Amino acid sequence: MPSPNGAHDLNPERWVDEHGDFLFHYALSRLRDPVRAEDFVQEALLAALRSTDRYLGRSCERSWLTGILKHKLLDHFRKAGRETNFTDLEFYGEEENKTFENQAFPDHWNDSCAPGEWEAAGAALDREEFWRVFHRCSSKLPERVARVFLLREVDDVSSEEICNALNISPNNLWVMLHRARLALRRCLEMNWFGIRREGEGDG
Amino acid sequence: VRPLLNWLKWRWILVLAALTPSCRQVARLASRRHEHPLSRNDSVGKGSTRASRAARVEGSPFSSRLRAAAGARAPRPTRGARVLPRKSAASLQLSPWDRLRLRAHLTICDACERYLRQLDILYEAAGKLGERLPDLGAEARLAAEAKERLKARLRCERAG
Repeated sequence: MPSPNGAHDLNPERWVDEHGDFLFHYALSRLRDPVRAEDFVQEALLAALRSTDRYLGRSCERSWLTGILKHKLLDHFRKAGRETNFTDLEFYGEEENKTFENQAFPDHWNDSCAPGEWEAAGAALDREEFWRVFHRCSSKLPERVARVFLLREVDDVSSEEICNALNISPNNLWVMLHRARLALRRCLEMNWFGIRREGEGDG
Repeated sequence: VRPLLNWLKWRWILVLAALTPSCRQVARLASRRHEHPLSRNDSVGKGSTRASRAARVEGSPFSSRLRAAAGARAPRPTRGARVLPRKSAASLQLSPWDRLRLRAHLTICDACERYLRQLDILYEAAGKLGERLPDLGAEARLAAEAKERLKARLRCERAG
């Protein structure tokens, strides 16, 4: 909210009450470690406090704070990426082969895994329960695959930036995203759209 | 005439089957957008998050583009998605041969048609995920003590 002298009346303690849970959840879904997530929220809020003069009020407070947290996390991933070999390509590889295992037509959908009809899919996005299922499904992805998926699909970080930050090749990124989508689709189909086939458990 | 038509029909299906990519290849093509500099957010400038978000809202998700690129008939619209005009096919950078094969595949494969539609839903859901905070229980929220710790740290920082 701009004050008469043009500055913005920012109340850092109010940030904690109003945006703390959101920021924590944002960090937690990317780090999967509540202690580290809390640390990053603190770092982001402190960074925001130090740069309140740069906040122009063009975006809403939550977007501004989330942007700072996102950059903090990217920096963290960039450092971690240099130290570790960041791939998780084995994930879903076998499952993908099974999905496209067809006796009559090689590399076509296996009858037991072919996409079914999703009824009222658009309306599902308005339902709170759908989002819980979506979170549950994305949390079943391996940590690194989930991180890549969230950066690319949710945070809209460019492929190039992700590859640089996480020290992975574009091809690896593409394979991880492809398999993440296949896995998420399957999980949603079973757990939200209720399409189950014989021999399937609680995906 | 009928036997002749039947004969042609089965030959046509065989030709299509020989021409089309496999379902696995179609699924992979759907993920190729990440390699295309002109697709989705990369088309509006690297790092331009706001612009790319706007582009996502304005444009249809990739799979609709894929269908448009393949020249398939208009897909069933998904919520919030708008079918791009055919010129967007250029942004996919699929070769005419690939487009023809894709079109042929989508003509005969309902499962892939459904898969592309479902990708639309996934993209839309992922795009909204950042704005949503479903009630996931206490473990996905900051504990009261943690909030107090944060506030104290902020007070301390503010006081210098």
